[in-house]
Amino acid sequence: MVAPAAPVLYRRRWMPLVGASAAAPGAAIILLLVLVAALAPVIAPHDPNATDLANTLVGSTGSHPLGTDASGRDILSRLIFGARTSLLGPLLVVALSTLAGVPLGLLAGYKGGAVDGLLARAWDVLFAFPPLLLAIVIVATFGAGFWTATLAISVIYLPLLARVVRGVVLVEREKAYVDACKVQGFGGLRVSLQHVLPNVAPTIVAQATLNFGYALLDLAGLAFLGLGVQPPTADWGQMLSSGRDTLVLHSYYEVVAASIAIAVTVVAFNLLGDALSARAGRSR
Amino acid sequence: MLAFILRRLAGAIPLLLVTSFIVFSFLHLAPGSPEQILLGGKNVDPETLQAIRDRYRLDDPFFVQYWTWLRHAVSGNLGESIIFRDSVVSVVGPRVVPTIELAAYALLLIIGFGLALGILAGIKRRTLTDTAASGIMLVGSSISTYVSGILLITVFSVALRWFPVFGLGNGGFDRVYHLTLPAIALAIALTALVARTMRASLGQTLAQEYVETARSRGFSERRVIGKHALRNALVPVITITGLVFGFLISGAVLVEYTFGLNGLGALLIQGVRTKDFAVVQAITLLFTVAFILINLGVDLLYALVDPRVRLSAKGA
Repeated sequence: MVAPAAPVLYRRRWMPLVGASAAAPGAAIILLLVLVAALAPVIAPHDPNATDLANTLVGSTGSHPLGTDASGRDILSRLIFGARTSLLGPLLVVALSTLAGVPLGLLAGYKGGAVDGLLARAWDVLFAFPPLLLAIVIVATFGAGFWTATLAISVIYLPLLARVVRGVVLVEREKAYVDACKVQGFGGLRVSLQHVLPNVAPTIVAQATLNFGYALLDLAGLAFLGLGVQPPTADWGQMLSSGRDTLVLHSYYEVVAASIAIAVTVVAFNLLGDALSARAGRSR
Repeated sequence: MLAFILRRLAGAIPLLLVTSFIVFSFLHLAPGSPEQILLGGKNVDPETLQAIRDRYRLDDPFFVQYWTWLRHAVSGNLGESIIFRDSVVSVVGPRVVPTIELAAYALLLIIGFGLALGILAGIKRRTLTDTAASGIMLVGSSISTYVSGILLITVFSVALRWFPVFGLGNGGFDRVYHLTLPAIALAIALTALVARTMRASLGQTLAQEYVETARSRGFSERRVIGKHALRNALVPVITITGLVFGFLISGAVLVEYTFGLNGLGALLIQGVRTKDFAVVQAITLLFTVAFILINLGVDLLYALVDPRVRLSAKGA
């Protein structure tokens, strides 16, 4: 009996935990969240920014199911509208890091040699910073806000994705079909884009799904620190920050609502991402 | 082994230079002139402005500026804090201790609970215990430090009043008491990461031939796992130590801010908000250098545990 080959690290780390059946609830929650974000103006009972200083920090009532915050704004409406900024940020991070990371990962994995070495050095430098710290310095330099925070977090996720892509391309380029393409005289660009890329796409999608959840945590974290989305924009990280200030007054609704929203969303993306990477791993 | 250590040290030095160069150059990347950035947008008299220009050698070429800054930094001079009106070293210095205490406390929890949970799930694979443990790991790794921190404050500090809401307390036992919730908040996600890695690694190790051999020789399961499998299964866990420290540093920033602890992380955020650029630069440099040195240490430890690493690294 031959000992099974040690799998690549990225796959081991995201071991399927609850099985592929977990993809369905994950996807369902994500779909629901996207619907809530898209239909926010329709389903939100109040204007998320309408203050009502006569009714601050009230508990659950008929008109305010989750109560109001320190400015008398409806927490449920802010939660619903907050889904927009809270999901848009990670979406941009995933789009930017994929657009830049996939070509660079393909290039490094397929070409190898000096290009690969140079990119590896560049990633080493980016990985030498503790993850969130680099983003914090970038925000400190260019000023707090949604766009700076989104770009800063993208810088962190770019090398992560590029490295994963490089890893799978390295395995893929040794396969017979790549040789077959080369024998037919196809150029490197055509082989890598038309033949290798579709075969590594499932892994990219799985990794991007997992990154979405983590990017959401990072962006909400920056907003919580006051370095991301700025008030009065409704955002889950921002709600945690303002809710924390009213905790001592024993008003829990805002903090608990935002925490649950963040946690449920990230669990959903992790469930779907784990299931997708398990599927991507099986198919190769 | 000595050659391996020297090679790794030689690799770390350029990394330290490049990262410190990046940290330095943020001063010039920021919109506005460097002296304005250093002054946090405050108006000062011409003499002070000239003092800043001299201090940072702003009239010299870029690389001379960097080299001067680096030389000062290495000799423990990190400039002046514009907010505290004191040298950065005396502002930052006292904040190091609470951060290290918090990180050490959290690390203890991560290693203890992470390994225990991972081993339990790895041994009892595909049972109810495994599913439950895996569920805890999934939720744990999905909850960031600040979310768990705020929920812990809500439940245990505000509602139940078992723990203090904010602050560091007065040394000794009181300090441990004050740091307990922050350390738990910091540890949850990383405990899940360590447990997931341990579970996967133990599962792979238990499928190896030598484990079968040990079993077939009639060794008890306790002996097979405890004496043979566990030691080898720990090797992949060492590889993620660097990752754990990276998240420990980032997480400490969020946790200190959440719990109002006067450590480096809280000072960093305060520095960013008050545009105290020299302080931000110093703390970033400190965290990054610490992170690079920890990773270097992990590499060396890894090579010590697994001889294949230092042998195969020769070719690389």
